[in-house]
Amino acid sequence: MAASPRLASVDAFAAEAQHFAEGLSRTVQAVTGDGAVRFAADVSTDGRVDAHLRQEPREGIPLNHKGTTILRLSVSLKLVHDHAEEHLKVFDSRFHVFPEGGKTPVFRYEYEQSKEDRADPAAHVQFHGRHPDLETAMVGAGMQRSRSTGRGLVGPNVTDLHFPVGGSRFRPCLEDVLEMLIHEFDLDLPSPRQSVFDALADGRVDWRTKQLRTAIRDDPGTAADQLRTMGFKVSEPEDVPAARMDQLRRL
Amino acid sequence: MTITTTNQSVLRTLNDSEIRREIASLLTLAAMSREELGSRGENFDLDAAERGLLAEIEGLEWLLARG
Repeated sequence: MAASPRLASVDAFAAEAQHFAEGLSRTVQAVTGDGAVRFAADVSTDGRVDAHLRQEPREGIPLNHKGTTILRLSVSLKLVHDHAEEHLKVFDSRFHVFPEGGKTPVFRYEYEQSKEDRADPAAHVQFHGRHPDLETAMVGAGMQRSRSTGRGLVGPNVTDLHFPVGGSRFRPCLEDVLEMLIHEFDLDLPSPRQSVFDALADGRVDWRTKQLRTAIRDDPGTAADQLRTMGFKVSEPEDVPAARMDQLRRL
Repeated sequence: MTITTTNQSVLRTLNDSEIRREIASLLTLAAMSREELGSRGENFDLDAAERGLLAEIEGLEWLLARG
């Protein structure tokens, strides 16, 4: 008996979510060398079919320097169907880096599609710390109180600032954050550095290629023009899709 | 709930009832109310294990809300 269309859809989405999780696991395992670090996908089967991806262990991915864990990376992603209901896409992603044993993050890379209609950039990085001169400038700009509710924070502070990082299409990927951490913190690696960087670069290519395809869908006219400039022969369909100016203009 | 485990991933498919049961189970592990867990999370006052529990609960709650 053939599966019902709905079951086929749940199975197909779950398979894509698992494939996505396995890609992230390979990326992180390339850096940590730890098979116990992997990604789990929870897929809902009632109503809308969506997925939440989270790292294991639950405490976060340990990142070590000279054999000692100095940082913990927490990763969480929310996946939904794209508008064509053909593939999954990231609706929300959070890469949070904590000092080992600490409760306050060092920094947070976040992407929140739900923010795309608001003033804050949907893809942003926030830093945690104090910067007295910056806080003075923020008070001078009329900010009276912190938008964050961190311990002891009353006045505005650096955590309140959402620094844009490329919008929905060109935001950093997990591989970018991991490679930065390797360089800046001289993290222990399970294999020669170049092989780790090659694994991260492979993941980065995969991410950027997918994002490039999506960006082309935002503005196929510009893509066609560029290809013609490069000598490609490009013919247009009867109905030329208009550029998605909302996406192109969004912070 | 269906669970599929490989070396590189864990896949759980859950209906709404299973999601609610899982959230309740995680809150028991957290040993605090949902409100306290959320409030301490907003104040960056959770240790690594507690943060992980909150992230998992928030993910499951999002799945319920989307449905």
